[in-house]
Amino acid sequence: MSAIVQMERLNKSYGTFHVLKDIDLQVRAGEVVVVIGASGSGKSTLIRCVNGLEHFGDGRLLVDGVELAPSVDGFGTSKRELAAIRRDVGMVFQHFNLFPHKTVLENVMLAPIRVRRWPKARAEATARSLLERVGLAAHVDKYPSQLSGGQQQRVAIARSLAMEPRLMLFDEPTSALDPEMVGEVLEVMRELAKSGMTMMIVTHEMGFAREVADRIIYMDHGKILEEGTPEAIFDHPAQERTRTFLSRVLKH
Amino acid sequence: MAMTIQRWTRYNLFATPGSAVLSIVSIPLTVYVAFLAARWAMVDARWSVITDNLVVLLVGTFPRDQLWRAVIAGAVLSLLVGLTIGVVLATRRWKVSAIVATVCLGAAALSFAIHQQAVAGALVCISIAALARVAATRVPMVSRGIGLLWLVGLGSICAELAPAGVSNWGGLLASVLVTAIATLLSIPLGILLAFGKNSRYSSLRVACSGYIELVRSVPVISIVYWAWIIVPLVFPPQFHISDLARGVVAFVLFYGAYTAEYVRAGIQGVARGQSEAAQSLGFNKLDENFIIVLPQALKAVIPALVGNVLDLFNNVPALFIIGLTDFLNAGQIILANPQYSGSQYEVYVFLFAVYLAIGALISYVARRIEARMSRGSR
Repeated sequence: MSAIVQMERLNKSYGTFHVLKDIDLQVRAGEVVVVIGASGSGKSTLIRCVNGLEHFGDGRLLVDGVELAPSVDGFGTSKRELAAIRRDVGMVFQHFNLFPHKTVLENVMLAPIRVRRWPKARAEATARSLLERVGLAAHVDKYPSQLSGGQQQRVAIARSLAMEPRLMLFDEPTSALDPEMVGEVLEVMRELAKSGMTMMIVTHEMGFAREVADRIIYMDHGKILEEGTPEAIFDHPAQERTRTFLSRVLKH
Repeated sequence: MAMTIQRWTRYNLFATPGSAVLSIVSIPLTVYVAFLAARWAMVDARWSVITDNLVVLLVGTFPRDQLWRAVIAGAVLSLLVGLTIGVVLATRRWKVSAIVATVCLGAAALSFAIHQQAVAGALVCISIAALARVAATRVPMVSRGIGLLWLVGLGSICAELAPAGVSNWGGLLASVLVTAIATLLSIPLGILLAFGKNSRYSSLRVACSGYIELVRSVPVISIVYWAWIIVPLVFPPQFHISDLARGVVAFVLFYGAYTAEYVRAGIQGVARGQSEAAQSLGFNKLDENFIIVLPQALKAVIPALVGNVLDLFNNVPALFIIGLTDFLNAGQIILANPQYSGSQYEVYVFLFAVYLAIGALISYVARRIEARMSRGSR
């Protein structure tokens, strides 16, 4: 199986702060990779490199066969290549980032119409079925401000799925949610994983990670310290710092 | 009832000793001044200077045999203003406006019958505006296309008034037209400059910043004079560019820069996550800027933009320098006539009252927009 994401000795620095150090990573089609680690370990930066929201300084990054060029101030990869990658890679943000001036249905329909140039009818049908799939069929004509956090995040997931991506990135999708709403979002993500979507998830939800991940990656100070199956990482962590981190996080 | 009046006065006027002194001094003084003013207005003032010269004040040196064109222009403007107010007001209550429209139409018919054409005209305009306001609340398409409606409306007004000779446009009509056209054109310019100033490409950034800084450093009058000289040079010699057009260009160039700064503030107020979400969905820069960022940016700064309109309107008299007779200048021309040179108070009070009325209308629109947008938002 070819790799959808391939990173070789990826490095990124913000000025003197070396945030990603020699990252080697491969994500195969259909895999669910969960990245865990302390704040500041570089995990969000890592997945934001995949769809070009962050530029990296050195190394090699291939996404779905397209090579992203290292860059200094955003003038690396050509716009066309970036657009090609972003069409097929969906992203769900910690703070949802729904478009407040559009209804829920419009939020989901907008990208397929403008980017994939679908006719309105097809986009609308897809949007409605996706919103049904995430359990929000009754809210199609509401505005994001009228929805709860969990509902907004589910709309955000539907919005990314409307583009029929080959890879979905999740940047701490439930970190900004009240505890009672976390479950509904994780349920959608669980179903998505079961349906065979390739996913890279940054999360603190360890129970979810153990259940859904094919592979766990533990990041520490910009390096991948350890990676392996959920059983390997959670039950038999090899590195000391991994053990410390897990003991702190798994306490509750 | 008497109880609440007592309490109201005690709370608002006499709450503290200082406040009580202020009330005791200022209220009788205000009443006295108001009384003097009212007495002057009704007894001493000779308003014939206004009534005799009303046409000059309203339309300048417009050919008198084609005044019907100006009347149509006034009607279309009332329509547009009414539609705008209808779009801007949040409430869907239309009965009051309908009543106002009917009453004004009745009063207009009455005034016409007793040969008070000016009053009749004013009342007809008010009733058109009121009816338009009602229509705007009924027809949802209006709020989508209000910009386009203004464009079409102003274009048709210009086309319709053109045969009378653009150099003859003057008075209040010219003031309002210059304000409306300059506003309509300066907003797109401002938006382009704002995005240019935020651009990735340093040449565009420098060009836009430089332009904005330059224009904001000089008074509007110098831009008017500069445009009057430069604009004809841009066109081939056989095209005669009217002074009014040059004046409009000057205002567009000037207020476009101010609009750019307001829009830029709005753009910076839009959360970065919105751009990131748009980018990660694959939107190109154009769609990201105009479909996602700009609507949110404009929504935030519309009150400031409407204030800009007010500023523009109050600076139209600067066009005197290129020979245009706008409303204020028309008043001054009247005073230059030796027959009316003693009537300065009457003329200036009238000018002030009309400016106040229009300015109050624009400010009211700004307040309603602000109230409407803060309703239901965090």
